[in-house]
Amino acid sequence: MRLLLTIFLVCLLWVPLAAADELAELAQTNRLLQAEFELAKSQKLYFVFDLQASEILFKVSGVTVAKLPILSLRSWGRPADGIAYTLANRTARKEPEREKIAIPDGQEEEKPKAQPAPPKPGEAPKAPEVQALEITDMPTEYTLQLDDGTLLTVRSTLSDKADFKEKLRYYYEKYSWFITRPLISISHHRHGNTYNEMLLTLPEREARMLYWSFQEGGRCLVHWP
Amino acid sequence: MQIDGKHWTGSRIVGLEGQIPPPEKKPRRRWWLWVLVGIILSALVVFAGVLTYGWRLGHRPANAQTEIVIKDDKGRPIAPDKLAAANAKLQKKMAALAPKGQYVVIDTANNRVYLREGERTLRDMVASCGSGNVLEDPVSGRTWTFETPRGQFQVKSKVNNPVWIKPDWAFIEEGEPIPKDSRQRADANVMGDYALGIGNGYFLHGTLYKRLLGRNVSHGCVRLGDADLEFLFKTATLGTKVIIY
Repeated sequence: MRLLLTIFLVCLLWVPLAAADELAELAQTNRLLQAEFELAKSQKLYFVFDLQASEILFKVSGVTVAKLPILSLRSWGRPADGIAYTLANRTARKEPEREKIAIPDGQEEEKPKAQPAPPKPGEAPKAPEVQALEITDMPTEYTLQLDDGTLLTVRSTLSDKADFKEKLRYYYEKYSWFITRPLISISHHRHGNTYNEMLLTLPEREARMLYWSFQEGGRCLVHWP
Repeated sequence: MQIDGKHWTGSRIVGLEGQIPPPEKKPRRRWWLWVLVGIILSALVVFAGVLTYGWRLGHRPANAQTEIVIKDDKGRPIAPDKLAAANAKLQKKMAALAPKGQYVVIDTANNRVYLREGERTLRDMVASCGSGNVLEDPVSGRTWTFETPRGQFQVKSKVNNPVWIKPDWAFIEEGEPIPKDSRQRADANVMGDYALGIGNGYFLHGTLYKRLLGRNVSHGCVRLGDADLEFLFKTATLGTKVIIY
């Protein structure tokens, strides 16, 4: 009899708790959908950091055009749900630089005496050297600062070719998190701010791809776990 | 057991007591060591407390202090029992924004063009997208960044045997004077057999530099190989959505 009574009481408590959880989840989904709908209407490219599914989605008009996997994730703090953020600033240890095209100066340069022969039919003309900003020039370690101050720190996995210095930095960053982030949090709290950061580890090429596509002024959503 | 009249018990010789006086121990003053240990321990405890406090600040639940009120797109509050229906409606509205039928997706980072229908990729094509280089005209001070634009576009024009009307930057880049006669701007041999215009002077067209397909070398247009260009030209209709990222 006592056992039955206990089970009954537990059920009585569990049902409203489960309903509250479900409601909170529905509310979170609703906020995200509303924010995403506004972004989708703009017809511009936007990004969804789906931390529940450990992936980053590139979307236009609600359609996913690319998907990047997140290998590991660490989060500190928690910004508000269901807000479309704007990328305010990007900082990388080594920023890629655009190449400025050198204009040939006809006056100083000696003109060739004879014009090169035109390519024969079916023969490809001589291709110029490639001077371009390509995906391989993009950094693999950088920080994206959103408009509310939230930081998305992107790191790629440690490559096999990494030297001692790189390995040392990698492990320092990995383990100093537990010391530095509480101290930074306190410092922000003293100034009345909250400190939110996500540390995302992506495969090397995917980290470069995110930097390539997610430019200042770009919009994104974060689906917190 | 006996050794020379003395008892031998294990490792200790019994019977020598009183012959060797025990050394006098000087009382060592190690109080400073204990103080040092105490200071270090206290500092560690304080530091651990600070870290715990910081840790708790960083792991506070979201929206702990605020009441959650969900509103629809017109600002009216949604009743909790109607949330699931509201979410389904939003998802339906979002799906309506997606391109209908076939559409083109261009990945500028990997120099790929995909023809897609829904979530399905029908064809994967190698392309050349914008180089990202910057050109500055030393005379007028005008600058151009040769980047492929990103976002959603649509096929606005389809041209057979396109003729490239060279813009000013093409002459500046070559160090040539900008011609006053517009006929001198026409070049019929560089864009391949077909071109699909997506607006603002950007095209998907052919190229003479086929071995550079897969590299970022264009001035912002998207270059394709002959077979892919022909396929796309015949497949895409006016109004076909082109998504570039």
